[in-house]
Amino acid sequence: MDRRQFISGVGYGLLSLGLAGCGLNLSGKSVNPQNTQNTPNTPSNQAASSAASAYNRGKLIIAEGTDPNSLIEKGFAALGGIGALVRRGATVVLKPNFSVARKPEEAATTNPQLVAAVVKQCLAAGAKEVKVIDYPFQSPAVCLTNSGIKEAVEAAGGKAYAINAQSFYTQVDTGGQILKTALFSKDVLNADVFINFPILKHHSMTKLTLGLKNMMGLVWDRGYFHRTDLTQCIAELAAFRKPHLTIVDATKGIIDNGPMGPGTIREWKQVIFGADPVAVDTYAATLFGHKPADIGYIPAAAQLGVGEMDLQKLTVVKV
Amino acid sequence: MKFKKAPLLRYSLQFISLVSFILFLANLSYPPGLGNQLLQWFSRLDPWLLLSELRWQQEVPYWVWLPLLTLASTLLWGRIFCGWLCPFGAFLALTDTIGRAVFKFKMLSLTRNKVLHALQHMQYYWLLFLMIVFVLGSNWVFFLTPFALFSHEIVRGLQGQVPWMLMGITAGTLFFSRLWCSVLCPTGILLSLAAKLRLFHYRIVGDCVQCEKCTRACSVGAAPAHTSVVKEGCLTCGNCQRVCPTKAIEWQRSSWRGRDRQLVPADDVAATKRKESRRQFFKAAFTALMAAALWRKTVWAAEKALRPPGVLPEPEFTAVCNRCGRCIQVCPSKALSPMPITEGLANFETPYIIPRRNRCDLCLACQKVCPTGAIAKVPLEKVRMGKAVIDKPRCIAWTEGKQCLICGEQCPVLAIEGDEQHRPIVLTDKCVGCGSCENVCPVDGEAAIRVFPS
Repeated sequence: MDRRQFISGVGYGLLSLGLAGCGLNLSGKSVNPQNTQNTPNTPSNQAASSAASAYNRGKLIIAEGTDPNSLIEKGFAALGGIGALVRRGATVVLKPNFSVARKPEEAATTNPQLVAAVVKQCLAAGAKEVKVIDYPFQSPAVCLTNSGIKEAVEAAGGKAYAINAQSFYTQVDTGGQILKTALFSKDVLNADVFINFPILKHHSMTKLTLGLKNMMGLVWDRGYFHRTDLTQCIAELAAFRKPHLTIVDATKGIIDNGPMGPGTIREWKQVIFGADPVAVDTYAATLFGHKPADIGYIPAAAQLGVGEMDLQKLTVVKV
Repeated sequence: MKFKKAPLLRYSLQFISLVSFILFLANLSYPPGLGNQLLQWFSRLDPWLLLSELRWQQEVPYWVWLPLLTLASTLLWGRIFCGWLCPFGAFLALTDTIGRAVFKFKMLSLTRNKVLHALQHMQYYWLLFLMIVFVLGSNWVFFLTPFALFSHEIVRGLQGQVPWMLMGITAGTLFFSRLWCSVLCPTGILLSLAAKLRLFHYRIVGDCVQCEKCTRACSVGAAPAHTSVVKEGCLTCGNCQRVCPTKAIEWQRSSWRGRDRQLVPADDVAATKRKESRRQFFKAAFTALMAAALWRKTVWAAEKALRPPGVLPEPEFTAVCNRCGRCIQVCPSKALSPMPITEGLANFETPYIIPRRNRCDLCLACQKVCPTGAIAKVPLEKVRMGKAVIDKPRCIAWTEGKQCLICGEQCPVLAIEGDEQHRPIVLTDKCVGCGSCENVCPVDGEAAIRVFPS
């Protein structure tokens, strides 16, 4: 055995030990290769970067009702309890949609009471800190205030802020066909638990903004998406980093003039929970009245193996 | 008036004024709160604001009592506003104290007094000049008024720009005491004029030994050295009284009937007065001529700029805006910046928007902080800042068929629609000119959609 073989052998050994550690989850803090950022990802740990969720991927939970706290409680209970996802001492990142300076009643941003309810649950499960982030279109102070997110999240004990400076991002190899590299949110890369929390609403360009589309708020250069191929970029971004859980606020949303609003509001009185981001979006699209195949980025993401878009293969549980 | 407690009261007032002014200004943020209210009250004490409101809005503002309060106090006690309350005055008083402590040489203190006295009679020519410019229709005098000047210079500093005016005035104060307050501050001179009629003032009643200690102590060159009464520029600080070794200076009610006792023989005074009056006439005429000649130059405005939402029509806007910079400080998207002096005196320090750099989020906080109403409280539906125009040959949706409708996506007022191929079209009647589209356009360099001021 020569020196080169020895070193690479040791390397593979360490890598496999590290990957095995992911499954063990001994300390309650998952050993996520993404924690060692700032170095370009190799293909092997790229696969691991889309960390496995604690929940059954083939299951969608639909909580029905209007009370924010009970919607969230019911949803997590049906998933198998928040304790399975959020371990003691974990850092949780929530990515709701507060991209626009609209008030909660205008239904263009994630309902702040729902977000606050998730923050409360996470903290009750022992989370060390809960960060609520977005990269809004408009100025952070206005979006954070108008959407009601800042007030609700802080009252619940979390931190809400906008990641609107380049210092919140780090260069990653996204490994896509078009989206090869990107400046991606450090907060998400360093989190133990990442929950994507979009609102179901109309979008002028992509018809709907959903979980997969909501991930664009974690990337510094969104212009690149528009300059190249929007749907493909969204799909490739989802393939790079899957959330541990996607919750879609489908209590109410605008059905035209999206994403900015103001628009016509429709109520569905539902909150959708799921570990598979494609499955969640597929269900939400049908709820909205669209064929999932028509929402460009859903089939594109399914094509890349991000998730399942055949609802027949999934269990949908209403609570 | 008891003067043992007076200095303490004055220092406290000045301290509170200075610290709160800076703190409130630095903490102006979206949404503006109580600090903003106090700042508004504060800056409306300036009578120039009232003059401008009367001249350009032709209406008496509801806060008319605030500047009248300043005038009333001046008619009673002289420039007590400048000496006791003005935050910029407080800052310069502090600077002066430091200057006096550091440069203790007698030479400097002599030049200090000489310069102060030599330049003092300039103040009314300067006021005349400003008044003529003001009446003719330009109101850049505002950027020199104390609240506005101090305010825009602090904002400049907070925004990471060089507060060059403040630096210059501070340096001048270190060497020449409160020359700014006594000769150049438009509000100060206006109040000096009113102070000629004041009811109470310091005067020499005891035995003056001509030691000139009061002259050296006075930071505005108003001490009663040659006449028995302090000059109208007096800031009512009481320094002259405190340093007088014979306790000859007292705070008294002015006697309009009794003539002020001259310390210089009366004949000499009369002779100089005759000579002076002719000279004065020529100086005044020259000033008026200069102002009229320079008027066009100073009124000259820059090319039309994109202004904050709800502003008055351009000529009124530049006239009523007091250049306090609060809108710039409060703007959460940092869309507003001050116009540089290269855009003309009339535009200097007025707010404008460069949408490619930062867009207006239509939060309307600027309307809430504007103390003059130059940014009027216009509801969002009536805001018309400009119009967006698409440069189709540059637009990637129009030329390359890209799925790019980001301008339409982010337009907060739904003024951009996509056609059947998702190519943007501007609905001109809906566009408010906030610049979101121009700001977000992903085309490199100049945007393919641009906002032009209306």
